[in-house]
Parts: sequence; structure tokens; C-alpha cells
Amino acid sequence: MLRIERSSIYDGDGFRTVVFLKGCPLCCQWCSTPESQSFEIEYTEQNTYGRIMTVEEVMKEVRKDSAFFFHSKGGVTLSGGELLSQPGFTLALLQAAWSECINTAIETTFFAPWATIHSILPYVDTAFVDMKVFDRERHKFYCGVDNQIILENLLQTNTVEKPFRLVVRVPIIPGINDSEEELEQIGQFCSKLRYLHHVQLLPYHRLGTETYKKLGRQYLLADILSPSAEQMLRCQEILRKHVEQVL
Amino acid sequence: MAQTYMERIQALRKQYLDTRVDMDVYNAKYLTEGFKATEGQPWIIQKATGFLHQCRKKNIYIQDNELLVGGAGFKPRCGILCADSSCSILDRELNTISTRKFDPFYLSEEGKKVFQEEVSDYWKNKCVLDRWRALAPEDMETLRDNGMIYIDRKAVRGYGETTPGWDRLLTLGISGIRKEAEEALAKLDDSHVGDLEKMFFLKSEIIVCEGVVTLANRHADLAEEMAAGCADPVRKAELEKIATVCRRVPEHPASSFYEAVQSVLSYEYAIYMEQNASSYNLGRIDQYLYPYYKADIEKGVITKEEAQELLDCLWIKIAELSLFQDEITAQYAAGYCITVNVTAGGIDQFGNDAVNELSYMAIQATMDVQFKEPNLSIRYNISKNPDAFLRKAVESIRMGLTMPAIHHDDAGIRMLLNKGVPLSEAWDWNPCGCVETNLSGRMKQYTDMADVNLGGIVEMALNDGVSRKTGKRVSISTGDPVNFKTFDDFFDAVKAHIRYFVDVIVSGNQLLDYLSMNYRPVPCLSLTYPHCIESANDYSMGGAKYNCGGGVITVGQADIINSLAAVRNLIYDEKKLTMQQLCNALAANFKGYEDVQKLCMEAPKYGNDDERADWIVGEVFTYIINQFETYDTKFGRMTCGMLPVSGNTPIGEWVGALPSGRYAWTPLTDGIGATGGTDINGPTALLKSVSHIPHARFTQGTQLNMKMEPEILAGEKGLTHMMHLLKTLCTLDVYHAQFNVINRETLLAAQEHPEQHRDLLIRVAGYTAFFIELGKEVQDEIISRTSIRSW
Repeated sequence: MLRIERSSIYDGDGFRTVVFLKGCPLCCQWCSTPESQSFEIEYTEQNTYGRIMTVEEVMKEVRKDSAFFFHSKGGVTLSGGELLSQPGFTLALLQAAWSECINTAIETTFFAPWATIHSILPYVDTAFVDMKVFDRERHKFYCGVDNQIILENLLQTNTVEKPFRLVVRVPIIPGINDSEEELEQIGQFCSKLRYLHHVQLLPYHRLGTETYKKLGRQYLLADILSPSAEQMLRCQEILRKHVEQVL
Repeated sequence: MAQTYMERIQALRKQYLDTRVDMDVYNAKYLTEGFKATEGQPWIIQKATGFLHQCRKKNIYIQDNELLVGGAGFKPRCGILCADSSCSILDRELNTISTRKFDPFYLSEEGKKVFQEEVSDYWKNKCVLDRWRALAPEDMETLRDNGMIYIDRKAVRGYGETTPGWDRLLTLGISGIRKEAEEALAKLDDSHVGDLEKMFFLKSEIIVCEGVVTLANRHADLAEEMAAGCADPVRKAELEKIATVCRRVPEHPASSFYEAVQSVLSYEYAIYMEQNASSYNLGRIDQYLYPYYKADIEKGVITKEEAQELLDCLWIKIAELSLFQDEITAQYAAGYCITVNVTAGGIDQFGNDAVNELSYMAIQATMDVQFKEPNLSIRYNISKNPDAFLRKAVESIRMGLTMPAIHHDDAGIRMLLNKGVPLSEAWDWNPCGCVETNLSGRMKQYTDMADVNLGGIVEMALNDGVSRKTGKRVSISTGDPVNFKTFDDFFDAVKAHIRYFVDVIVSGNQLLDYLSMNYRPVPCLSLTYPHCIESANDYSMGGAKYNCGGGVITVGQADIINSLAAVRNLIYDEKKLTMQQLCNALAANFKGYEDVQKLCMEAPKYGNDDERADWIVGEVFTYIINQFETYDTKFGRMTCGMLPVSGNTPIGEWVGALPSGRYAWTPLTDGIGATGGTDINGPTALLKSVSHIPHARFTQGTQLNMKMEPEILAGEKGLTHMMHLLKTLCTLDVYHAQFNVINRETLLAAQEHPEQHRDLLIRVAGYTAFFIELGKEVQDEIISRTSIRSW
């Protein structure tokens, strides 16, 4: 476990309690939470990143905001790191929340065996899946892994019976994935997804740079600036050619 | 739709902002003349006659662009010296009042002369403040002079903190009330025991009626005169209308929306002239004005826009009242704040939704005028009020106006029940002043007769009843804290000091009540309290239908909680410190004990939904209110509230270092929120902590100031988030919240003046940080994100 963050408004409907797991098979260069990448507990001078928690311990924290969930239709969001890398814990936590009628969301790369995804989807109300770079080689360059399995898993979701809300998230990183060609490909691909609710564009930001410093790591994309509102609108227009809902 | 009325409102705003705040001594002069003219007669007759002199002689004016007229002082925005209350303030501050740091009032040489020659001598040893000083019990003075309590406020300024019976004023008019008094007087027989006092009261009622009507007619005369000399036909017509309206109200029942609004204003000024005091609330304005609004709209007499314009004008005229207080009291509530509460929403007598068109217009008036007065609040009834109403409130909050304050209606109703009002009337409650509770035309109370220093109570327990600041014994001895074997031993010492403080404060309250009953009659205020005429008894004597014991404000809720939590956690549970180490560190203000201070800061903190801190919240505050409620007064059981206004800063100057990690002489925490910079789990966690307070038992209200990050409020989604947050606030039974929005401007200001924004917390990509400690790059990033907020 990395940490639990309350009153989040970005990771699903209403007020969310976001449970960040630690450890990720990807290593995206723009990652804003570099402290979530390693599967080990990390110690710096000021901070300790990571702790061991049981499902019940986490649920105790999650329940604290149940009154807020009720009014805002919020709930728990499992994030990472990559939650699919801890499939047993993830499944148990989602089942626990599900059994208490707490709305569930996951934020994932989908970089995992399909069987793992298939086992947890029945307990998921909303899945946010990142589509970072479409081109296979460039994905490997920027994120450290091949994206073939990710794309296949996304297509596999068309086969599940229980509906869920699928949100494909595209972080817009100027100069890396905001070309027309790139976005066209993402749009075409997304149009094939049965449970797609919408595509969400996230403007790249550098809020994580302080953490890189704390961890003594170098931030590779230091020169890239956040996209402007105009740039975001342009990307949105391209995707809208293929997908109805682009937010 | 072009809002043409806003031109007038902008002009009036500018006029207001360009007006210097002056000191008025003329009301005092005329009051003194009235007292001298009736020397030897009952005090209330003298007071009424003094008021009549004020109304006959005070300088009056009508400013450009005004539709509503009047004023309490000789010019707009004056502070008024209320000589019978606190004449001697000016004796002491005559040469500094124009230039003092908090709330200066400009006093001319001529004004000084008037005061010295025609006012000052008469009131020496006679005004309430002088009598209060002469009779003050020694133990009370000791606690006060060592900063453990603040208790002079009510000797300095008058009653206030009440909501007149506006319905009564509008439906009967002053003439109707006068008729009641005359009829009641005719029935009395001065040979019957008790009737004589009643006759004095009723005669004084008739005298003040004469005063109020005279003052209105003088304004009508002035308007006519000005109209005759006015070349501009539009303004001329306006002045003629003003003359007609002032000729009718407040003397007669209001027959239109315009008249109703002017009537309210005229009476508001009148009771303020009678007693300089804060919080003569406008109350449920959307309810008592609605019949007039509806009738005028239906008849086509007025448009919605014209009605809005009048409400806006009322808002500006209310802001013209400037509270006068002495230098020290001003520190505790700075900003000339008159804190006239006005409210919208809630339920009606049948328990149905009371929201109407005027409820929205009241919020709009604050959005138009954008002054800090009147203090707009809403009674949000989660089960009855529509979402559209809550949404309108959130739109106003989002503008960064901090208003309206949101009151959870059901908690307010229960506060009234706890004050002894039956449910058949409690539904009609209104927020009073900051967050106190009141009932229009029916309730007498002092909502904040004293402040009690909760940080000081912790200090007493850890320093055997001796002040760290002065080295003097100020409270009882509870022994060397090193001998506290368990947390309960320590807690028992805290409770012992609570009991002592409460006892001393209540003796002050008994004295205050004695002085108020004998030397502070308010015949003009009594006019709108029907029970006063029925019982032929002045408001000050308990003539109102419901009377409440003095209200005491607890200051430093987070400080006492965090200190108790730290002591338990560090000394008794985890044994990271000994009591001796802690006491040494506190005595040294942590100098040389930086490691201890670090441990104290890291101990569990209130505001994070952390049970290691919150477990004691309910117990401590229940103990405090139980203690106060064991004491009876002339007006019922003592009451409490948590509304330190700005008192947490001056009272903090008397408190040494605390186990919470707070350094000596720094401010205590305001309201019921978390200590700045210690609540790092976001707004939901803060509200959960706050929900542990037994709100409804603190019947003078509990004030929560919350800082909101702009992203939570951004866009259409932001409105919804905020509405959900407020609904949850009600579900958690939190009574009140007021919101400061941290906007782009705040963040830019914090970059420029980091020293003034030390506790500004921002949540960044998964962690919470002090904004000023972030690198410039990340600060800029956060600021720029506020501009692409739809993503």
C-alpha cells in the first residue's frame, strides 16, 4: 500500500477515497507519482513510502466517508501503482466494498493477464484504463513495456457479460502523444469498445517533480510544459471524430 | 437582461467606500440633555426622553442615489457613543480614537469639545461600564487581567444579539404599537401594587413611539425640501417617493414592498441609536417581506428588478452601521462589524419548504453588493429546501464572498428547543450575529457575554493554576503535574479548572444582569416584542416571551483537543515523553526542546478524522456545557457557543506553549476548525472530526470556517461537489460552515507574501503540502491549473 487519499474528486463520481497500491510494471517517464513505482517500501530522509495493510484495515478507512459517498454517489477508487499486480488483495478489497454497497472504481494500465482482469470486473462499477501511447515501439520507449497486452485486454472487455463503465484515459503530453496521427489511432481503437463510457483527456502536469527530488531521481521530461486549454480543445476535436463522449 | 439597477448600486457602493468612519458624540449629547430634563424620574423614562431628544435633534441627511434613507449618526458610517452604556471609553481614548490600530473612528476637535463639555461629566460613575468596573468581583478581575477570560464586552456595548419582531412592526406600525401601549396604560391603576412600574414602562413606550415617528417625518420633510430644489426630474420623483414613504412608515403598517423595506430600515437605525450594539438581526427577511413582494408583483406595482434594487439598497444601508467599541474589545471583533444577520430558507409553520423568490433575491443582494454586511446566512433544510436554493448559495460562495453561511436547519431548531422554546415556535428560529440562534420578537439574550480561554485551561492544569505570562496565581491549585499518574489524573485537573472558570464567569454574568436590569432599559427595542407590552415589562427586565441565560464563548477548541490528545498519546499511551520533559519544554517555549516540539506536532491532531485525537471531543465539550448549565441566572440557565470572531488572536497572547505544539503567545485556533496546517486529510475528514462536537447543546452556535481549494469548486461539477458536501454536513449534524475559497488571487498573494500565508495547505498529486514550501515551479503549475479548470 502506498497511501489512502480522501475527498478526491478526480477518480470517479462524487467524493472518492482513493487507495493507492505500490508497485507498477510500467515506468512512464511522465509518471506524477514516482513513489508508487517500486514494489518495495522506500525510505527517504523525510518520508517513508509504503506500508503493509490488510483488507479490513483499508476498509476501516474507506467506511469513514460513507456519508459523503451516499450524497455524492462517490465511493472507493483503487489506484496505483498497478492494482492488477496485487490481484488477490485487489479482488478481496473490491468484493468487500461491493458487499457494503460502496461504489467501486479502478485506475489501471490493464497490463496484466486477462484472467486477472476478468476475475475482478464483476466487482467494478467504473474502470479507468490508460491509453498512453498507441504506437508499440514508442510505448515501449516511454513506458518501458509493450502495449500489445493492454490493447488486447481492452478488446477482451467486449466479451464480458456484466456491464461496467469503461473510461479510457489519455494523458496529453505535448510532443509525445498529441500528434494528429496518434490521436486518430487512439480514437479509432476506442470506437470498437463495447462498454466505453467516454474518453477522458488529462492535461499533463509536473506536480510530481518535488517527489522526484525527494527520491533523488531525475525527472526526464523537465522541459515539457503543460498543454494550454487550446491544445486540449484541439485534441478533443480529433478524438470526437471517432468517439461520442470526449471529456 | 441588462441589470440597469446595478448602476445605482455601483454608485452607492462607491459613495460608501469613499466615506470615512467618524465618531458620533451628538447622540450622546442629546441623550444627556434628555436625562437632565427628566432628572429624578424613573431611569426608563429618562432613557426614553433622551431617545426622543436624539430623534428630534440629530443631524439627518439623504445621500445621492439613495432610495432608502436614514442613519444612526450625524453622517453615514458613524460609530455611536452610547453614553449610558460606556461613556468613559471616550474619556480614556479621546486623543487616540482617531488613530488607534483596530477600528479607528475619526473625532473632530469640535466633537471632542462637545463630548467634554456636554457629555462626559454627567456619566462619570453612572454609565454601565463605570458601575461594572466598580463592582467587578476580584476573582473575575484576576482571570480577566491575566487573559484567561474576556468579559467586558457587554459593559462596553449594549444588548444587540437579538432579532426584533419585524412582522409586528410591519403589520401594526409604530402607531398600532403605541395604541396597544395606550390601551394597556388605561387599564392600569396606580393604587394596585406593581402597576406603577408598569405605567413607567408603558409611558416610556409612548415616548419612544413619538421619537421614531418624529425622525421619519423629519426625513419626509427633508426629502420634500430636496425634491423642490431638484432640477433632475428623475431624482425629483425619487425624492418625492421617499417623502411619501417616510411619511407613512414606520408610523403606519406597510402597504407596499418599498414601504416595508424602509420601515425595517428606519426601526433598525432607531434601536441602534438607542443602544450601540452588534447584531440587531434582520432575521427571516424572505418570509416577512414576501407578502408585500407578492402583492406588489401581482398588482404590477413593482418589477422583480425594482424589488432587487431595493433589497440591494437595504444591504448597503445596513453596512453603514459601524459598531463602536473600546480599543481592546475591537481586537476581539475587528472590522467595525455590526454583524447584522439576515437569513433565507428554512421551513414554515406547517413544516413545509419556506423558500420563495425572495430567498434567492436575498442571496443575489449579497452577490450584487459584495460587502461583508449584512451577514447573510441560509437555513438549509435538507429535507425540505430545493436543490436550486442550495445551488444559488454555492454560486455566491464560489465568488469568494464567504457568504452565505450555511446553517443546518435541524440543528438550529434543536438549539432553540434546548433554549426552552417549544417546537411550535422553534421552527421559526433565525441565525443571529455570527452563528447564534434567535427567535424574532420573542427572545432576550446576551449571546456572548464572555470569552473563555480553553488554551489557558490546559495551561492552568499543567502549571498548577499559575499564568506563564504573568507568573501570577490566577486559578485554583491542582498540584504539580508530575504527580499525575494517569491521563485521567491530568484530565481531572483540567476539569477542576473548567469548574473554577465557569463559576467565576457566572458571577460576572449575575453582575451584568443586575446592571442591565437597573441601568440599561431599551424601550424602543421593547416595542416589537409583543410580550413586553402584554406584560408591561421592558426587554431588559425579562419582558420578552423567552429569556436565555448569558452566552459564553469558548475559544480554542482545537487547542484543548490537540493538547489533551498529545498528553495522552505522548506521555501515557506511547510513553515517548515524561510529564517532566513536557513541562520543561512548555516552560521554555520549546527553546532547546525542539525534539519535544516535533513530537508534539506529530501527535494526533483534530481535523483528520483520527480517533486518537477525536475520541475526547464529545466528552470535553459535554463537560463544559454541563458545567455552565448547572448555573441559573435571572434569565435562565447559562448558555454557550463557539464563535471566537477574531478573539482567538488577542486571547492567544496570554497563553504559553501548549502540548499541541503551539508556541507561546501565538493565536489560538478559530471557531471549531482544525489548527491551520494540521488537517491534511481533506474536507471530508475535517467535517468528520467536527461532527464529534455536541453542536445542538452549544445553543449560541458553533462556527466552522473552511478553506476550499478552487479545484473542488471548479466548473459545473464543482457546484455539485459543494452541494454534496453541504448535504453531508447536515447528515453529519454539523451546525454551520462558512467557506473561504482559495482562489488564484490567494495563491498569487501567497507567492508574494509567503509570511502571511504560512498555513495555506494545498493538495498536490497525492500529498498535502504548505503552498509556500513548494518550489516556484510547482507553485506556478498549481496556479496555472486553476485556469484550465474544466480539465
